[in-house]
Amino acid sequence: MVLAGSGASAQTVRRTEVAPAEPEAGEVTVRARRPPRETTLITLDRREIQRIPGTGGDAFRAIQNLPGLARAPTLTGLLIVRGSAPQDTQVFLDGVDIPLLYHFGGLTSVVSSDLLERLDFYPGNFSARYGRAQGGIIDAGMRTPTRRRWGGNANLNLIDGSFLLEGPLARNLTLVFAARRSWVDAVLGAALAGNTNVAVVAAPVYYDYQTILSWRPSPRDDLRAFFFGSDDTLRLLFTRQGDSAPTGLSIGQHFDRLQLRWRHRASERLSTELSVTPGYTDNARSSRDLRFSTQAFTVSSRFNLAWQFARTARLNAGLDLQSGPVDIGYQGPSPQRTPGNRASTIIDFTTRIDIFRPAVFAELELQAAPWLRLVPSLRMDYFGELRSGTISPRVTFRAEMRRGWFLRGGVGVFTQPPQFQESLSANDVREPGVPVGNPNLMAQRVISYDLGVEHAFSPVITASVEGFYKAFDSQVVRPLGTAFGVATLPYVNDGIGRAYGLEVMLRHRPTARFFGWVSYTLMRSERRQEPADPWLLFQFDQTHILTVIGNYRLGRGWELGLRFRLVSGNPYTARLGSTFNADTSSFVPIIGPVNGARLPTFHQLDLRVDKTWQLGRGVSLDLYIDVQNVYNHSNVEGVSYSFDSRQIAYTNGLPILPSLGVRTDF
Amino acid sequence: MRAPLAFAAAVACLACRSDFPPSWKVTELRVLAVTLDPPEVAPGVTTHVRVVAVDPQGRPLTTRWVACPPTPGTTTPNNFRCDSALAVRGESDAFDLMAPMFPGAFPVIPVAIRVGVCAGGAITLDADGAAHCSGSDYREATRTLRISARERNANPTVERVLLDGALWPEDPPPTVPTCPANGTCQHPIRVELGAGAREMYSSGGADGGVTIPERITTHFYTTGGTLEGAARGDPTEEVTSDMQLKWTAPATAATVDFWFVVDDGRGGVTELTRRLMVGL
Repeated sequence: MVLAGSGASAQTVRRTEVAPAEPEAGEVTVRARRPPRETTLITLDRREIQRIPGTGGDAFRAIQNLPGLARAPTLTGLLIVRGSAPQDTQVFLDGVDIPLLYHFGGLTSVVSSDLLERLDFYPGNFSARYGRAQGGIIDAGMRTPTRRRWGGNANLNLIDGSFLLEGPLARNLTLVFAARRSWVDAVLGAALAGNTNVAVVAAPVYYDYQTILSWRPSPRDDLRAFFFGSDDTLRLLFTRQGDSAPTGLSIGQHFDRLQLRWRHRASERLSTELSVTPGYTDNARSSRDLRFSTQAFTVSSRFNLAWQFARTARLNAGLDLQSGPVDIGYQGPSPQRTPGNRASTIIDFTTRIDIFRPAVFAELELQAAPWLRLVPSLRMDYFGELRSGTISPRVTFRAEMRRGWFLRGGVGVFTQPPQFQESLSANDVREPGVPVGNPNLMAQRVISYDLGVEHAFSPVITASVEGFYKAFDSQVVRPLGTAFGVATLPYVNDGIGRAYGLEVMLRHRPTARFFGWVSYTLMRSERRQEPADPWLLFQFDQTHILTVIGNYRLGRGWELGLRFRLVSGNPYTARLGSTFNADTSSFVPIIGPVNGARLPTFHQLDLRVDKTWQLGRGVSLDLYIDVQNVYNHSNVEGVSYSFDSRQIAYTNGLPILPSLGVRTDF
Repeated sequence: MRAPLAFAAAVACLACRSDFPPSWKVTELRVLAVTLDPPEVAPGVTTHVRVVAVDPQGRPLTTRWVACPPTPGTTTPNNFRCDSALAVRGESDAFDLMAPMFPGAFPVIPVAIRVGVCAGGAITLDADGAAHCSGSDYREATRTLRISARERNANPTVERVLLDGALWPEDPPPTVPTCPANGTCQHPIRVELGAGAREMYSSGGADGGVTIPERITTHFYTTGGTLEGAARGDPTEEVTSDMQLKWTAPATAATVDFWFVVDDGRGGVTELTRRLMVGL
């Protein structure tokens, strides 16, 4: 574990850093330019990212093995940070928020890991630079294309193929282009052609692309155009004659972004960054009981200023604006239906929202003493759709108590607007006069506290322990128990919650032969529908999360990696039986305590074996096999019930899943 | 707007399947219907209640019931007072129930009828009023008696039931051949409604509402063979007079029972029984 030196502030960030293999002489790295803020800096190098079993060499999947992130159910890709809901965590690419991090819920991320310069994961108490999130932040920084020569890589496996090409176009003008496309549809289509026993075959089809054009007109200026996007489609390959598609399921998710950025260093003490990012997002999903679509033309704009106005003081300040129209259509169950509340479960609406969310922030980095750094900050947000704003003060500290021993902590306010449909003033088309949302909602709020200690036992062995407590208030919930079982207001700000826990990490940094770590989180996350209600377990509460990773170089190009995970099962609401409703010839489940039961403990061992050949100067070939769930344990991801709720069946996650791949760098 | 979690589950479940028995297959103790004749009455008028329960194992069945009035002053129809002195109790699978008198003007007042059926034993009530079955199997059902001072509903009438296009009599039961494994020997079963079965009624509302036809659904149940579905309704809300399903005979000889429960979506329920001799 590397502890940030001077210039670091006191937030907690877990960083997956993919530094360029060939730093260019005379180039000021992006990392040195951007305001350093972190105290806890976990730097995963390229070898670690590429060799962690079960991640396919994907940096975004690698961070799921760090403390603070709960295990996401198979093929969901949910980011569950310190007991917060998945929608409470924001994902950014160089400050640009993206609607999707993983293709099809976790198959692979939507950005090539080879383009990343850094990957910061903030589980809590993050910088005032970030807002509109009450959970965590993931922010990936893209690197500058190499200026030395043209080169790249290609990667093929059973699911997809990708390539990257980069090099100089002219003096101080460089380009990189990367793309990936799945071929599950082609593989399945060929394998199952003519097989009449298979009724319906649907395959995930996805692609993504990234292009960075970088120009440095002067040593003080850096101009960049970053064009990227992603597309996910569930393609029906074929159906046997006479059969219909399963539940009419269709998924289409697409986004494009063009970020134009100018960085300017006015002096050694003052630098600025301006970026404007227009983007298009198109989601269309439907199943038998659900239809959901959004089309958004939004512009994200940012201005950051970093000013070292005294030897021991530095100001980071800026503006952050999101704007543009969003068209939303929805027909289906209310997304935040409370377990056990069967009233008013279907909503249907189509509407347009004009997003206008400006924010200003300022952060002061004070070296109060040689051993103490304080970072007070303030962020002010305005949410146009709510016609209200929030003020979020935050402060963090970091102190070197004795040589090699660091104490860090912080407290801060974090706010997040409700989801769009919750604050809509539009009416349900089925019931004119019945509002879909509550336009008088306020932003949700979390007050976060954390305190931790770090120590380096040796240059390669480090440890950290961190405790956290988060108090949720003004959380959006659906009210219960109103007249005739129908809520007069579909959403209210009455929910509260709390999450608290302890995170421990013991790490062996990469050496010539070995790297690995043990990560353990002990936590509890609870919610209350109303302040007077009893505490209920949060649906992704995981008491114990243990991850053990190890990788060893055997020699002669052979490498062996293992990952073992042991995680408490998620809570769920059990059915205790049912009563036959003879009015409608249907069964009404008898619902047990909300989230009062828990799925069996998850445990899984993944293995990866690599064989690398050096084919020449700068050219290598890597053949690997990555086996998930080596001992084929049936991990339970959910339950289902028979028509009368008298029989229960478990829905299992992935069985043993080997994946063979080849990668070449040139 | 983040995607609803249901989508992720739906994707993950593309390859899922369950081995649960279908709802149309009667393999254990079931309450299939509770009929009221008539289904909606004026205060002080009697309705006849019949509990249709079946146990394929043939064990003797014991039935207990309680009729619970709504809590006075409440506007929540599901809040019933089964422990009150006004609740009426009995032990029979067929009985007459007189609608209680309620003071004041009202459009419709529901009375909940709760039924417990015990196979191979007796039902006792503990001090809290909870039912306990001394036998090996127990099922509960609920039914609502609507007490109305004005408009009245009637049970849907069934004209006839057809098997393979011919009249399917109650007695004697017709015979069909067994169906070998993977055979295609489907038998259409059609339930034809009587004239006027689909009543028109007011949808209610502050302005008096609009007059709309009932939506009638037929639920099919059987002890043998394979039905292609559990129910047939009228999704178009057009006035149609029959509902049809295909049934495949079992591969071995057996006596197969069928139940058809027709409901009009607002309390009217009619139940019919038929029997088939397969390969006998």
